[in-house]
Amino acid sequence: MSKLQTKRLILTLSIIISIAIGIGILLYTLKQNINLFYTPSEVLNNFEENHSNILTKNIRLGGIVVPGSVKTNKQASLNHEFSVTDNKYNIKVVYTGILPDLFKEDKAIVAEGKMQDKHTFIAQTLLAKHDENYKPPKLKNI
Amino acid sequence: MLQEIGLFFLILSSVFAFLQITLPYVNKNVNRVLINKLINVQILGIVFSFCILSYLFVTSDFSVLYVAKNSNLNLDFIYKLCALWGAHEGSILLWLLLLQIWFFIAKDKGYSFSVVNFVLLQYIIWFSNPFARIFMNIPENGLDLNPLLQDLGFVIHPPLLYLGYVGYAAIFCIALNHKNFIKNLELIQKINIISWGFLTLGITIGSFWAYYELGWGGFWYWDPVENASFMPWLLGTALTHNLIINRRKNILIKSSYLLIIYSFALSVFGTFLVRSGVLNSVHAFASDPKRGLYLLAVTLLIVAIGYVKFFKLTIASKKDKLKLSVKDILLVLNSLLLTISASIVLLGTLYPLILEVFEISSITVGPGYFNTVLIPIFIPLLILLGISPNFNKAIKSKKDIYKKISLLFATSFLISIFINILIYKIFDEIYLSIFIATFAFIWILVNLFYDIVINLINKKYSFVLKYLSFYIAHLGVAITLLGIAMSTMYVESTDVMLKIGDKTNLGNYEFILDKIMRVSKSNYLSKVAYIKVHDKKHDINFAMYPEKRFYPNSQMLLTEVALKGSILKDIYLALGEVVTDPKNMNIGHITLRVKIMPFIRFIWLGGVFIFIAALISFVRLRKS
Repeated sequence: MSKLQTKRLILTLSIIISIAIGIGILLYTLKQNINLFYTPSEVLNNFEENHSNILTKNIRLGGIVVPGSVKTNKQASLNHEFSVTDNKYNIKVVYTGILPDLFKEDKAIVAEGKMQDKHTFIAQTLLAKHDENYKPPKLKNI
Repeated sequence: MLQEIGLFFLILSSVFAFLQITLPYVNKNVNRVLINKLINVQILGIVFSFCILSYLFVTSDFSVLYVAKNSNLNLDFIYKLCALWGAHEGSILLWLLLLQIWFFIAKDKGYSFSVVNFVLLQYIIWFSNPFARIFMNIPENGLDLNPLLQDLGFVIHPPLLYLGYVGYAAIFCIALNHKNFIKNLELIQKINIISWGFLTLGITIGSFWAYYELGWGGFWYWDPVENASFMPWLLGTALTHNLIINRRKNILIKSSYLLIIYSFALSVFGTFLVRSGVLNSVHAFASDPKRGLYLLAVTLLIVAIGYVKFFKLTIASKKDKLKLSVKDILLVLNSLLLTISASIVLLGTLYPLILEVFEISSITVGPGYFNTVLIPIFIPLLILLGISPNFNKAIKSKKDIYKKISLLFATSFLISIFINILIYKIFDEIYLSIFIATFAFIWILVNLFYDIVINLINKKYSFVLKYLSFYIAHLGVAITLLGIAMSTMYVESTDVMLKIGDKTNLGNYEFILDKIMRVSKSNYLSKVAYIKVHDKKHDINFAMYPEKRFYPNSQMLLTEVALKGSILKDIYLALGEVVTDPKNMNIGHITLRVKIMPFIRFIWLGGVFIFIAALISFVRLRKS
């Protein structure tokens, strides 16, 4: 190979490699930052086989707030407890913080956080920023 | 009757658009004057139908479904009018109306305009007719305009954003006339700069609106709807810079062409994202999958047609074709990095959508992705932005320029160390990210001011005037950058429960819940918390009034935050629950989110700077 050819080869290879590394980093970061969305049934049905995934990772839990299940600690009213359902299974959600405006019994809610054990979900954030008739696509049929 | 006339005008316009497209094929010798008359009628038709819809809104004609859904008798006049663009049908009509401005100006730039108008008119008539009637059981009162939208920020945010979008539609139409592409570059540059300015201002105001109206105190959430406006902005910024090289040297024309295709395609695609209902979004106020599919098809069509013309685009080669100066190389790098950023945002926005469509899993992509991937790209971009003033003039010797840049670098470094010590004294904490951000800020500032001062000393006033928009826009970027870094890193925040008389402390401030009042307005009921604030450092007292509103028409709760803001610091109070004893207003408690955010106003101030720069640049282009 002539000098020019070698130079071009090195240039092309380095461009390809850097693009590959770039895309690799991109996809890796993407994977690290996705939140999986589950309904209560999906959590409970997959709990045994997908144990580590569900317990360690941040997930989004979507469901309907069970009417009458909302309990607020009167002493410190930032602590809330309620159940979400997809009409098959219920999961208890524990949340400390300010409830969003659109939080209502019998309406859809998406909670972001972690499963503590099989029946309790610790929510860091409650997402209810959509309009009031919004339902996550998976819960459309309820 | 009036409702049918409104629709009739739309159909009339669509017929005239159709004639504009077909006549030149039927009769090769068709008169240009005739076509222009057809265009005028079409534009007038759209204007009339918009006026009729406005009239229906102002007079609260609830026999029109769209009015009944989005307006209410008790709304203030201004919101009655603005409810017009409160949902999909009206927004698209507004979009189309604004497009007519450019159509009127660039009437003779080929028939792509007519095609785009025709496609949009078909969309409105078949899929999103704002004049659809209710014939049975006409409601006495309408549902309500979404309370979140009953706000001044909302009154101006969509029209500004659309003024930006339609500019890219217009540029696309002009560019499709590929034989005259180079001749039309000047017009394209004018339309681009003003549209880009409006897009910037629209995004800025949207971000400010989200900050005080959505009640969580954030200014950007990497929400699909926000991304939908950010992607065309990134590409528009790349285009703005690329056009500078195009005009000077007649090179890199094709890259501008591609940027034009994608900025328009992405702005239509953004509308698809918002309206299709596939994504869970903060701002998706109305959605319908059928419309989504139509808009997706339109997007794909735009890209396809754009590419067909792209391959036909030939550019007469010139001798200086490959002689790139350092300035050109910097501009190319800038366009490249901005385009990469836009692709990254697109990937993050589309990824959940693709998985959802193929039913693999439902996921959302968190802000972490965008921050981690984009920051390493924005840092070199800011460094480039910083050194750019040094290359506005032809370089005499390489050695001099190295010396100059290293001197400027050292100066910036020393100043930023000093500034960081100052920040540490004030906030008691310092972060690496703050150091990087303040350094970038100082670096941009030092380079800009050095250049301005040197030119002023040498009495090159016309040069400074020529580059005025350059200085102001880049200053704007630096200001926004500082605002983002400082307000994110030094935010103080707490959620508390307060009974009447209770107090809480945050930063140098003490907050006391004095009383809770009920207020009743024409279309909402409100509970207002009177909060006494004591500034311990300066020993000043003042009061803040966060509200919780209930809109009975739409059965919606709304948090009206209280802001005490200065340019350097915002105090932000948002109410959670307000519980009062029905018999005794002196017994009760609230939950309250208290936030103190330094420099947060800088974020929007920078946006305003960029807008002003775009205006100046537009005026200069018109003069020359």
